[in-house]
Amino acid sequence: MQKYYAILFVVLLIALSPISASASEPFSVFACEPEWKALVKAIGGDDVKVYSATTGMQDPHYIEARPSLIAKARSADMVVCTGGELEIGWLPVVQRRSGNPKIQGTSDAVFFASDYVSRLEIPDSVNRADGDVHASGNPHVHLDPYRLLKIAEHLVRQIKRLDPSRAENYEQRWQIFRSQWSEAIAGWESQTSALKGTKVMVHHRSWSYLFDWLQWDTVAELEPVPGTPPTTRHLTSLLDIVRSDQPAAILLASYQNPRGAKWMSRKADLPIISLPFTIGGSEDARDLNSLFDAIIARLVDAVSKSNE
Amino acid sequence: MKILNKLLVAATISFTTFPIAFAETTDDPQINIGVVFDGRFQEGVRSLSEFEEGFGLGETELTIFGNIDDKFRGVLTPVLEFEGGETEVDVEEAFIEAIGLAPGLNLRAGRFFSEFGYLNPVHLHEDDFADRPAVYRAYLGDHYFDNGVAVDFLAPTDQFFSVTLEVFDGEGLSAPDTPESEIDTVNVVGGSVNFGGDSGTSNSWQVGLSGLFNENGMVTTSSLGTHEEGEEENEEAEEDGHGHGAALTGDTLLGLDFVWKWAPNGNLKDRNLTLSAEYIRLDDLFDSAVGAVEGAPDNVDGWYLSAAYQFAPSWTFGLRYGEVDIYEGEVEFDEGVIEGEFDQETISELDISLAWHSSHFSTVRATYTREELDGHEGTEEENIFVLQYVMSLGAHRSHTF
Repeated sequence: MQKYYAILFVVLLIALSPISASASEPFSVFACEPEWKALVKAIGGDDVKVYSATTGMQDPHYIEARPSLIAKARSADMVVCTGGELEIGWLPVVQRRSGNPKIQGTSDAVFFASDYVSRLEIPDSVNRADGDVHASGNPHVHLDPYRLLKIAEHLVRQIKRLDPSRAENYEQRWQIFRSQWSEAIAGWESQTSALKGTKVMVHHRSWSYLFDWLQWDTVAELEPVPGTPPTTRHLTSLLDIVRSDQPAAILLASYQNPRGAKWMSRKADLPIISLPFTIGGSEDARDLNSLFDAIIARLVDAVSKSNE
Repeated sequence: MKILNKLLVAATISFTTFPIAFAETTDDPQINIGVVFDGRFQEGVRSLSEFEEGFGLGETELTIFGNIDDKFRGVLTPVLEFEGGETEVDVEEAFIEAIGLAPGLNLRAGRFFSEFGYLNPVHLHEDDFADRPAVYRAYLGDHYFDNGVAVDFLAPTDQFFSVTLEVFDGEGLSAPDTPESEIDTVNVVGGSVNFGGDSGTSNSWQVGLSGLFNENGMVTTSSLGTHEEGEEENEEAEEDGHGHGAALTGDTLLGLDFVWKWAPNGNLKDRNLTLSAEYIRLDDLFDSAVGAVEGAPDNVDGWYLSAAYQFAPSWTFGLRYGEVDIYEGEVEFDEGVIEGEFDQETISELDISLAWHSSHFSTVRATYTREELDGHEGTEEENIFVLQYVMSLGAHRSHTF
């Protein structure tokens, strides 16, 4: 038995030996979703190394704490995620199993974007019978460009605090990002101003913040309760809403199963708009600007066609 | 024990040198409580299984977990067992864990699952079939958990590489009837290494190598005493039910495991496939005296290959085949003379399952198993059918890979 203890002790000694990162190494960020990777990159440039745990073709609710994610989190200086329970099924395991003391729970290095903006659809009560409902409201906050700007402001402050030696660089890039983003918002708003009040059906409440900004209305969801696949019974019950509210289209994120939307499209003669939910969700959504460009272009195109 | 003390001292020092803070998430309440319901109806009886024929409540368990303070979290999992009209409470997990003692280093103490193999650290209710593969039932008593201490170390590399070392009390894995006087305070030392990664965005994998070194696992003349051995081991395992004695024990248990997961674009929600395989070998079963008995094997081994395909958001199809070698016999040790003989047997099993998930928290599953027991008296066949539900109420601990 003695030899086993000896092995144990040696491994422990190696593990406990202090490993200090050199200052010249880029600041390492573990982002949960591509939109946060893009935002960190916009502010951090070459001073940061960012990894995104998910792609635009994945539903961020359903990710596994797989080995590659744990390995990436091991060396991260910061975690940037949506929060609001979106990643609750896997991020806690990734954090814990990484054994990385920097990125545990309430540390300053764990940044949850949705903590910094006002939230929509906060339920009065949370009951599993209502499906995948988050107590702190809808977590899909990144598609309102004003909220995104506010998140960016807090993110810059936090990165500067965690990596003070390069604070000036971050501040410079942030100023550039802010002015360019504000310009871009004006462009998107002029393209969509005539479409205010458009009514749509959605597969899942992925677009609430987008519509909060554009002043569109969601009249129905294809999922009977959030997170549960559409059923024929539920879809049939929505046909009344189609008649009374006359939505212009059905919205679907490119990673969502199109079966329910196709059924509804056939029955109600409505176009389906398949949108990139985030960067990588379509080929033309390569960064934050082109993501919004792609979404706005598809919405404008589909709605003006259906209005003809 | 001296070195173990040093280990604890080292751990204590590191608490003070590495100030850490952690929580499950910032949104977490102080304490999380959840219940997993597992109810079943079974036709037929599986070898070495804890589950009986008829209606049963398989592994209905409570789980309580949360952060104790900024350095520790705690997990308690009592399991309700219902046997012969009696209800007992067993504790599967009762441990505290310190995260990030040093970069990449976690420490667990208390009662917890051994990290041996792929399936052992996984809760039974996460399985895709009604019962563990035969090799787990024979060599690990479904899943081996015990009182002890473990450290996990994750290397600071892009490739996932982790090492776990654990020491356990080991009484549950001692050879049957090992005299109390021969049982040490620390009997089982385990180690495992895991590599893993992604292959493109659609595939991810993990390979693991593990060993459990069991001081009292070997069947010796003193553990034989003057009565029968072998046959009775299996019976004991059955009577033991959830008591988790392994049916067969030896000095060394070695395992090799492999898992491959696929989902289109890595998006698990609608469709995904999990392939897993393990080979487990039990070495040094007997001391030289017992090993000299006719038919005594030097070692035994077993394996399984399993596939679970979620082909629609609410449906999973599972297919598994596995084999395991066991032995039986009547051997007596009396006044320095050893008599009797051993026979080797092989259990081979094919499982087919179909599960319906109403949501992430509820599953209804049917499992059909065809089991063959090959022994010296020919082949016995058994068909087993299980209809079960596995549902989770309240807080739900996130699954690992």
